[in-house]
Amino acid sequence: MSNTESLRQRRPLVTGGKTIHDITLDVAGPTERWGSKGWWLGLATSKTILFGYIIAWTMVLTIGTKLVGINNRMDWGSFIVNFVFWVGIGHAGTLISAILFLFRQNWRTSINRAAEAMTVFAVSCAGIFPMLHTGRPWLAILWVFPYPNFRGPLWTNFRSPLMWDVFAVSTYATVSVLFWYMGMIPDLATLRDRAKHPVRKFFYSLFSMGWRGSMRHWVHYESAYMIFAALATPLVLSVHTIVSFDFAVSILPGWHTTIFPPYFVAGAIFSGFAMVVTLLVPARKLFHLEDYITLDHLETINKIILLTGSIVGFSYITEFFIAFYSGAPFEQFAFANRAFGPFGWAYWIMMSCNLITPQFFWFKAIRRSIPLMFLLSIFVNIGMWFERYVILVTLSRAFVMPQWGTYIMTLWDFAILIGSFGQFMTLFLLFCRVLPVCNMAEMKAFHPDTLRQIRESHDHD
Amino acid sequence: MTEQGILGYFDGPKAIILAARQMKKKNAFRKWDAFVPFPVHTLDEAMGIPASRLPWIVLLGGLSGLSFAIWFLSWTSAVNFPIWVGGKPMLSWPAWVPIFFELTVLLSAFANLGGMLLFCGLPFQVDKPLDLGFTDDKFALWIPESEPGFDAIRFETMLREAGAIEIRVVGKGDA
Repeated sequence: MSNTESLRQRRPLVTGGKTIHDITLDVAGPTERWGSKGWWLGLATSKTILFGYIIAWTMVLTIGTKLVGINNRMDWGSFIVNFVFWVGIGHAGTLISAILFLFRQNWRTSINRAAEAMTVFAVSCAGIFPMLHTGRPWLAILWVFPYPNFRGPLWTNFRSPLMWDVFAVSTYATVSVLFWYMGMIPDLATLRDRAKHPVRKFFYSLFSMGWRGSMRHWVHYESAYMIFAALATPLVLSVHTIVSFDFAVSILPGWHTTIFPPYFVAGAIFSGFAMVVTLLVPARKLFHLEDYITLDHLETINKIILLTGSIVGFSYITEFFIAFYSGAPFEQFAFANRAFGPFGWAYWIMMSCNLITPQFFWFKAIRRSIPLMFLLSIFVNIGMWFERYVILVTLSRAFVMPQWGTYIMTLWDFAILIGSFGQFMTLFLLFCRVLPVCNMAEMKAFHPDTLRQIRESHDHD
Repeated sequence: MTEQGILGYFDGPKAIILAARQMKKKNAFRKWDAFVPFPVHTLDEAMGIPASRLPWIVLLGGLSGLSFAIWFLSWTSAVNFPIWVGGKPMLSWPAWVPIFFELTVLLSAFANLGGMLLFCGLPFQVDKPLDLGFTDDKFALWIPESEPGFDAIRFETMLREAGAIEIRVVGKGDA
């Protein structure tokens, strides 16, 4: 083995002497057994939170947006914060499934399925918020479709960043679902072939579309997978870029900056990877996947958190410096107000969680410590929510003083924020029991034994 | 529909690649196939399966998405209900680039999944799996009856010589 190859090979991606049949057993197992106590407990908790969520937004939609904290000055409130937060979470999944695939980062094989599921569920959580934000979604339908009047249909303004966002997020949601589903077809066929119960067999047959592992099909499958990765790569970068345009294309101080697109994308990946750690640490324990989602995987994720976290931290400092250096008084005030104004506390939570927390990952011992990485990932999640909050409350003090206002989140804001986690966790826990959590076919293809056999077959030429 | 043909089982990726290579030298197989639990790289070359033409379908999908976006936005903004926004010209295409991009990607993605299923003949290919182990850990070469010059005995010996650990003749009412 040449030197570069041994560097690339690193440690085996599947440990514990598992054969490819063991991969099938271990991954398909959780879907075939009765759920463990931990799983039921988790589901019961998330379901309860989900019910609270449904009650909360039913209240807000029926009684009106007077229940939440938005007011005339702060007409964008926690719903927008939550929307940006959840869309951001989704980005890590696409990064793992698409960008790391194009870079031939084979370690992604065992975590890509769960990460893509996270993307789909996070985007589904995000999708609720613009609807809630409109206050009366049944009337907002008229805002999306051409508005009939005497002159003809009045179309929406396609030059508006809000409209770009509608296209970006809906395309992102659709492509993520298609990519996720296509990657799952062979694994669904595995579950179908193992299914005993006729109902199970029926549904897995339906969704595996008659896949039977034909090599001729695999050739098309691999081509399609590659193309999906190539499509999703620019797409994921575009989504948070366009989300950042919602702010950056306006002319408000603190929002109207060119640094927003790259800094939003880095922040999205940063928060998403933190969520991957938050989810995978308990999931690998609960479903006994320690031999597939190894400590090496988690360590690599932590390195990405360190990198993207540093980019985000650097952006905060750059943004501050440029505001000072611009000589624009409103811009300077917006930033001074951010750090030392009435919402300074939020700014410092954001700074400490996003700038300092990831720096702990310079130490290998911390990168490889399960409890510490879990704790730090929670801090990153909190910090990234506050980043969006900080950006939003900049709105409270723009230009002239008579326009100033303040923003206080009510109980309903908090209920809906916490409730969205109930939706996310419920979907994720159900996913873990119904669909294969790891990409079995891909893990078999990157099994150390498979790689050795294919290498040996080349030597026979 | 009941398929007929011969299945030759092999005990791993290496065995099946070497067998396919050896058999390909003896007979120019056209219709044969392999059933494997994961994409075995180099097996497609060994069997002479051509590369997928899927990228062309995706290109078509992407171009139709892009052209639809260009037409639709120009038509709505400049023809159907021309309206001045922010002092921009009617055909202010730079402000539409994000939507052009998104619709290109969206239609490419649909073309990609649709094209893949179309090329594979899924989901309308209703043949049952010949062995439930193919999605788990079994590897086999499949020579269907439609293979030109199909000769059960000749192909069976060929598979055996190539190192098949088990041969199964799939006949009428067997699959």
